Amino acid sequence: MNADKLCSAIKALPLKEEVCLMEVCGTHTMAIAKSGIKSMLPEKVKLLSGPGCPVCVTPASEIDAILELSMRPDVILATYGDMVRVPGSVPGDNLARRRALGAQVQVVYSPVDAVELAKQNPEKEVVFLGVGFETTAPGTAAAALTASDKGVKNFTVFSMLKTVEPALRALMAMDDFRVQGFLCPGHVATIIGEKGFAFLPEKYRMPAVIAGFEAEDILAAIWRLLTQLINREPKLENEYKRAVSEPGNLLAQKMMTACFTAETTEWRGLGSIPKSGLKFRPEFSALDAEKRFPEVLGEEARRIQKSARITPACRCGDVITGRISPAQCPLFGKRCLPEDPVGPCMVSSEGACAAAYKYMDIDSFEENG
Amino acid sequence: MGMRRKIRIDFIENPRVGDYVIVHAGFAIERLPEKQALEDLESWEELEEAIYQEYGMQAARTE
Repeated sequence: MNADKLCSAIKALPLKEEVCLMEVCGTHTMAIAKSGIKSMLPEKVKLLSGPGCPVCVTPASEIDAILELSMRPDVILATYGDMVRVPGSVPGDNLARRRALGAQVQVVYSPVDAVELAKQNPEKEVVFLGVGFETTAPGTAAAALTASDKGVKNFTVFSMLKTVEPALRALMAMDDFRVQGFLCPGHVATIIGEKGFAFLPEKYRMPAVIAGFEAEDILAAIWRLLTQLINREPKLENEYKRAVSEPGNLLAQKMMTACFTAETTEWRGLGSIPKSGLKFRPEFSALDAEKRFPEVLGEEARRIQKSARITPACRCGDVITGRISPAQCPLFGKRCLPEDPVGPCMVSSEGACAAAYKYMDIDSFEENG
Repeated sequence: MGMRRKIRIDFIENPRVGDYVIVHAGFAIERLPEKQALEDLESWEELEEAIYQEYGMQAARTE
């Protein structure tokens, strides 16, 4: 079915009250903004961006620690491109600025490239900034194990990897959480399988649809969610069957659990969540940047930094938990712009604020006054 | 259209030459049925063509 037909089908649904749906995937955020889906939907249907953009959920305390590490002359940081402009607790201070001050920061496309970088620079310590969810975690683990197998000793990973389920549980536990259905991230589901999202309807009676990334995929998922709500039949549906099976990718899951263990970690906007962070198992501590540089990246070091930081007016935390829309942040489009971002949601192209700004519609301008 | 890259196939069971896969950060994360893959490629080509028509060569390349 094409987009127009799906939109008509959605408009024809008998909705009585306003409905809030949430996606939790940076690629969905971008696809929704780019295709203008929000403007095609009936006014009663609100789409929110949840904690699905990897750099957006990274807390300022971790960015501060990374910035400090970047200044060491013996360290090369290898990172995905969108980390470079994420500010820490001091506005304007980011890896791009540190690079201008002499820090060695290399953008890589894959953790495998970061291992290569370590091979080419044996006299330096190469630290890969491992952000992402279940989609990136298996590859990060596999690349790290390759480094270990090949005797590349100057390679470590700062694992800020996270899992989706604990974050969704934390979101649903918030008093003011108003979302009535989840658009589940297709590529996370590719790894963890349909079964990874079964807890939503089973434990929380929350409608859930696994969605692909074309406009049609997303619209079809929205139609399914709304239909579930109208019929009061919350269930898990898979709208992305071409890439998502019931059990998921078992080889990738195996790699993830062999290498990592789930520990408490901090999320921007959500605070500390038990068993939501993927950290290296003790037998792989030689690959763990937190163990290699405990004075900067260790938990204790970050706790001290956190207590010393000043919180700016940035409301990224409220944006990624669906409390406000990007345009409701007082900094949005004024002090905080893609060229000079204050918060991570405006930095990453997958961030809710950057997507809202780039494809801004008249409504957002009006909301923003 | 597209790009040439070395990727890792650790997570694909019995990979074969000619398989279509979804790639994420340098790793194939799932095999895609051929029919689906060709449909996706076709729709991207249509998109590229549409962008080219509207904005000219420069934009089509940078998108």
